[in-house]
Amino acid sequence: MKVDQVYKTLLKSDENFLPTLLGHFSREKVALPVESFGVGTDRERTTFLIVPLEEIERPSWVKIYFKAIRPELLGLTLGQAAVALISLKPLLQANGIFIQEFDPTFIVSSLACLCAIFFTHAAACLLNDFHDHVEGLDRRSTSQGSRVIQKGWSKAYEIQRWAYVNAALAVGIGIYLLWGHWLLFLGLGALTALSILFYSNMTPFWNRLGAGDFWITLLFGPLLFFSIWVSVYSPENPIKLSRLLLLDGVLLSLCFGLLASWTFQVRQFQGIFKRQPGSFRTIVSRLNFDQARKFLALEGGLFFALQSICFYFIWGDLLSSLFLFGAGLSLWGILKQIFGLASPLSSAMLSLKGRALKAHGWFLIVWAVVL
Amino acid sequence: MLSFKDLKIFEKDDFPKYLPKLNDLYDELFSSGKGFRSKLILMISKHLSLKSEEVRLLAQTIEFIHNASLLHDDLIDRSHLRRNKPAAWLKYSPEYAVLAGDYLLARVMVNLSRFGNLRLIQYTAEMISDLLEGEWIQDSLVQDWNVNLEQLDQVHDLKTASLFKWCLRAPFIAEENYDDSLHEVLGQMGGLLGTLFQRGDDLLDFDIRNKEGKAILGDLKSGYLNSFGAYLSREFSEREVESLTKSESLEDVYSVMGGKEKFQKSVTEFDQMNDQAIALYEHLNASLSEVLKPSESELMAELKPLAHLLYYRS
Repeated sequence: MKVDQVYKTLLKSDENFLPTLLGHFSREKVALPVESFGVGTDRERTTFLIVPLEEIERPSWVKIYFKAIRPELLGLTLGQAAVALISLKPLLQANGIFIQEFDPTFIVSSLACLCAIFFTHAAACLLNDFHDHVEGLDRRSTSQGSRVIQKGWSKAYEIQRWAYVNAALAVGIGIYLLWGHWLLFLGLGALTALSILFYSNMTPFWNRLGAGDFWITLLFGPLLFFSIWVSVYSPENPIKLSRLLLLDGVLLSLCFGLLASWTFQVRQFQGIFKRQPGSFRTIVSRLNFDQARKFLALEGGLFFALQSICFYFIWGDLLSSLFLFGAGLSLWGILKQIFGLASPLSSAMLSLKGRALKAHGWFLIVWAVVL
Repeated sequence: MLSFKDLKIFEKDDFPKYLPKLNDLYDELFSSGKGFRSKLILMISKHLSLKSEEVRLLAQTIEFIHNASLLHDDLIDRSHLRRNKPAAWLKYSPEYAVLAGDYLLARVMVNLSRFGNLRLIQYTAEMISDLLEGEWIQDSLVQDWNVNLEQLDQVHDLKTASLFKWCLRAPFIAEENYDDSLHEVLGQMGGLLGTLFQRGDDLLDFDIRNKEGKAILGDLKSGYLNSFGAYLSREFSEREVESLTKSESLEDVYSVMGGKEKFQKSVTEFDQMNDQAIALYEHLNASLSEVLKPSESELMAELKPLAHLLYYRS
C-alpha cells in the first residue's frame, strides 16, 4: 500500500458521505469503496480507499465509455432491434402486404431507430451503474456491474452525467423519428421508462414470483419489436399495423423476449453463490444451485425449440425451420457445461454468461440469414 | 484471569475412560497444535467480563471444532501426515477418525449449552455449517485448474475465516453484547485474518517463508490450485496452466514462470496486494474505538499486529 493512500470510514449520516460516494469530494483524489456495512439502512457505513487520481491507471474515456455501456449486452438490445427491422418485410408479406423495396425514408428511419436503441441501452447501463453504486449493490460485490466506478476509472457523478447525455440523445432521435406523432412518442417513451423502472425497483417478493422475468420478456420482446415496427413503418397509424401483425408479431417478439429473459437468468445463475437480497431480479432468486440449473436447462431447450416452431407457424418454411432448430443444438454445449458444474464456485461457472450471450448472438445471425 | 499457560484444551477426564483409544487419539492430536485460535479467544476475553470457566469453554470449543475439521480433512484429502506425525485415520482407522471428529463436535454443543445463550449456540452452528460447506466446495475444486483467486477467497472465507470471525465475535456474544456495528467490524476483521492466514499458508506450499517446514507443492500435487497458484496463473495460457499443474519441483514452477526472478516478482506483487488487506484490517481495528467500551479499548493494541503476523508468519 502506497503512503499517500489512506482508508476512510464514513457513516451515511456524515456530511462527507454523499460527496465521497459520488466522487465530487476532491478533484485530485478518488474514493474506492472497499467495504460497506448496513447497506440500505440508516446506520450504513462505508470504508473508502482514498487514492490520488494520478495513481489510477485509467484507460482512455472511449474505452471507459464502452466498458460502462456493457457492449456484451448489445446483442440483447441492438441485435434484437436489427432482427425486428429485418423481419418487418417478411412479416408484412406473410400478412398479405407485398413490398418491393422500402423507400429511403424507411432506411433513414431504421438507422435513426438503431441509434435511439443504442443510446437508450447506454443510458440504461450507465444509470444502472450509478444506481447500484449509490444503493450499495455494486459496492458489496466484486464482480457486479461494469466496475468503472469501483475501479476509480470514472466518478459516480460523471457516470450519472453520461447517462443523462445518452438519454437526451435517445429522446432527441426519438423526437426526430416520430416528429408530429406525439401521442405515439409519449406512449412508447412512457412504456419503456415504466418497464425499466418496474424492473429496477421490483421488490424481492415480486422477483421471486417472476415479475423481473416478465418485464424483461416484455421489454426485449413485444415492446421493442412493436415500437420499432410502428416507428419506422407506420407511425401515422400504429394501431392498424399492430392489429395486422398482432398474432405473428406477438409470437415472434415473444420468442426473442423469452430468449433475452433466459440469457439474463444465466447471467444471474453465474452469481448464485454470493447472491444478495435485491441483486437478483429474476426467478433464479427463488431456486437453489441444483434447481436453477435444471430450470435453466429445461427453459433453454424449450425457448430454443420454440423459435423454430414459431418460424414454421408464421412462414410455413420447413427447411428454414429445421435449419433454425439445428442451430439450437449449439445450446447443447452450454447445457453440458451447466450439468458438469461440480459446485457454484467451479471455474466453468465464469464462462457461462459469455457462452449464453454468444448463443444468443449466434441465434440472431441465424435468424437474419433465414429471414 | 485464565492465561494460555494455564489453559488445558484437552484433559483425559473430559472423555469417557472406557474409550482408551479415543483418549490416545485426542492426546496426540491436541499435544502438538499451536492453539492460535484459543490464544485469540484468551486475548479478547481478558478485556471482557467473562468468568475463567466461560473463557475455557470458548477456547475449548474453537479448538474442538478446528481439530474435528482436521480429523475429517486429513481423511478426505488422504493426507498421511498431520503436524509431522501420522494422521489419525492412518494410525487408528478411518472409522475412528470420523467418530473422533463427530464426538468433538457433539462436545462443542454440550459446552455451549452450559452458557444458556441461544445466540451463541446458533452462531456456532452457523459457523460449523460454513466450515463444512467450505470443505465440500473445496473438494469439488480438486483438479479445477482455472479457478480464480476471488473464487478461492470465497471458499476460504467459509472454511478458514469463519473460525477467525468466531474467535473475535463469540466472546462478545457470550458476554451478551450484540451491538450490530461491533459485530460487523469484528466479522470483517475476522474475514481478513482468515484470508491472510490462508494466503500466507498457501505461500508455504511454494517454499516462501516456510519456517514450519511444510511439504513443498503439496496442494498442487494433490490437485488443488491454492490462492498463490491461482494468483500466479491468472494470466497463463491453457498450456502454461497445464505445465504448472504438472510441476514436480519448484524448479519446474520457475521454468513455467520464465525464471526465478519472475517468480520472485510475483511473490512481491502478491505481498503488496496483501499489504493492502493488512492496512484495511488495521484501519478497521482503529475504528473499533467507536464501538468498544472504554474498558475494552486496550484490546485494539493487541489485535493490531495480528494480520501482519498471520500473513508474514513472523
